[in-house]
Amino acid sequence: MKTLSPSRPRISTYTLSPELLKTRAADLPELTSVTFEELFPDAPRPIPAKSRAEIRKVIRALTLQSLDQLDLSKIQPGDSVNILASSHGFTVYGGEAYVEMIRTIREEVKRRCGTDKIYLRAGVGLRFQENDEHIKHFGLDKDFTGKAEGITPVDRGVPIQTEIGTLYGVEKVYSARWLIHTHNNDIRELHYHRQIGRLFKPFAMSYATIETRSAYHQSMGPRAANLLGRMIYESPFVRDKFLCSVMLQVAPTGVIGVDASHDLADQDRTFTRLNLAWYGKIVTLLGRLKETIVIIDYPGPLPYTTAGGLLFGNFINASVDEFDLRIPFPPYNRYSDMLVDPGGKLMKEKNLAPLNPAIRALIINYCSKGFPCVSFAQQLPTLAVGPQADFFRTCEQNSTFMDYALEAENLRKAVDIARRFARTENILVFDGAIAGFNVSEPLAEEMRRLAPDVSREVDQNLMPMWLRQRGIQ
Amino acid sequence: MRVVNQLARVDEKKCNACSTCVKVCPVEAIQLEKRKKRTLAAVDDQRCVGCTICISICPRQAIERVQRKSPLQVGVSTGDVSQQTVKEICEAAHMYPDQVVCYCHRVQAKEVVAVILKGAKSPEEISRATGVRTGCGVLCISSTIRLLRAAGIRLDKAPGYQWYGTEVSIWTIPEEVQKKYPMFYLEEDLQAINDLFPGGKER
Repeated sequence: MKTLSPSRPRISTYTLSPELLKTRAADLPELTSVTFEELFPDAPRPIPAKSRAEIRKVIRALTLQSLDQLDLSKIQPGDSVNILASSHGFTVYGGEAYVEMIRTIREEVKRRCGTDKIYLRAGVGLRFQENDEHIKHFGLDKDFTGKAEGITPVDRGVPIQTEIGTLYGVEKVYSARWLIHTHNNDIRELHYHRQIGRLFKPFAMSYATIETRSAYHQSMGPRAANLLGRMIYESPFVRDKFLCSVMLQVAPTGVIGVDASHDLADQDRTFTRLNLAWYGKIVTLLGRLKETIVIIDYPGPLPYTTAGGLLFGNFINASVDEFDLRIPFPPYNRYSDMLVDPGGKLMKEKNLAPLNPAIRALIINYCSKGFPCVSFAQQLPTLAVGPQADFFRTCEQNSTFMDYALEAENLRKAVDIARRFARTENILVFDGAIAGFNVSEPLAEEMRRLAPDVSREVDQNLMPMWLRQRGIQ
Repeated sequence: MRVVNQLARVDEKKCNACSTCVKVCPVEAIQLEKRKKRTLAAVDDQRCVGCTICISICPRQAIERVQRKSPLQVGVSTGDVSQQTVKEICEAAHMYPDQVVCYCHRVQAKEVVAVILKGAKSPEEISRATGVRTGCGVLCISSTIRLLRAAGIRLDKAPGYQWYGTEVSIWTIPEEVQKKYPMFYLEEDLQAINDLFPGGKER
């Protein structure tokens, strides 16, 4: 089978210039692909859109249909409305679906409520200019007649009194009379949210200032931290403004639909069940792999590079069952980042899950800067391909990354070197492929062999346990 | 010790002295200055660590990163402070001296404490001496504040938008909230974190 199309290079402050990207992993002759549909025949069917225009048309119709179920009458003519967005949505399966959903919400609110004071406030992670780039790229600045902007965690804060004390949101997020929360349900940072309150997370992240985000990451465990988003959402300040939530439904196979609700808690319960069903099998399968070389080839920060709707970050931790809430993990990145010494050794080995030992070599052909990744290079045998190695050296958040990684002249050489020391022919690529993975043939065979057992194990044992742990029948 | 080779420079033609950069700089390297007929943002070369937060945030794209004439060294010696005191303060903050606080520049807790013992009283002073908060500018603020509090330092209002003094952590969640929201495994996470990071007198 031919390889799946990788994401196109992105022109951004945070990515390598496309002309420096000489070879894509999908062009390597030893690569093939494996789709989720062949691995798990019960995988959800995505919207069968073949072109961007078709995606836009379908998403528009689905968004209108979901908004029809909602009461927007609280919005009076002339009221201000902030449509809240998060940067990740602009990259999910190319971003077109998320953007069209946002566009449609704006138009529908304007039509039904008679206000044109509708603003897009798009919260960002650690790359502060990223959302302004997205807004311009997708033409949202024009759609919102200039009322669209990226907001950052270092913008002016606003105190929010919650049941657990004062937390801080970004003032511009909460500046309007009404808030419409737009998001997407993919599992993304499973290591942080553990599929507990996943839909609330932007309230503690995208829409929050540095301290609340830092408290989430540093001062709470990855189960407990999800309380912060929930507390902000439940605060009288936010509940008074919150109008509804509109969610782009996605699965590893692609975009599934649009869901809207006035009750975010109820919507979160629905998506918890769906995410366990939609992502449980493929994540569990990844956790069964014993050894592979990983190639990173996507315009996102290293752990946020994707394949088939999953992150490399999901694979980094796939050796533990992150859905299993009995397993405690310490705060922060991969559970080990804060406790790895300069030699790459874990300080408290008995308490920490190491990075997935199946990753025998990490090759970085293409990824964004703007996320601290040094500990990955400290813990994994890492090769960075020429221009990308140079690019890392300019990253403020990875000043010592290349002290721990080797530079390879080109992707071909990197793969040949990695094969020798990793002693495996398995290759797994994170390149933005949709609905499947680009892999080497031996790994494709391994996945096909493992899938039926994984499917049975999830259906019979894991799924009932995951649901039970979350109080879902 | 990290060597910084770059710094921020303000384009005087573009700057309109909105002071956004002043409010977000983690090392207080930018001030508004009166020049002949105008007020402009000005970067203190001795303080700027080239983190680019001001560049990212400037609404007029009036700041760029340029090469330094001479490199700036950022880092702190930990050998000339009491190791026992360092350990005690780290423990009080539920940390280990060797634990990483800043993931971008791999600054350790003991380095932050050493700077505190040498007289630093604010996150900004710590950032200038160690480089914490000068990478992503986000993730390490609560750990920095926890270490300052563990050392008995009271924090006044921050300059600009850099921090506000949030005290929420796993150790401050009221019992009634733990009971009301069992789905967040608050008691279990508290236990797990206390097992991994014993100590704790940060409040």
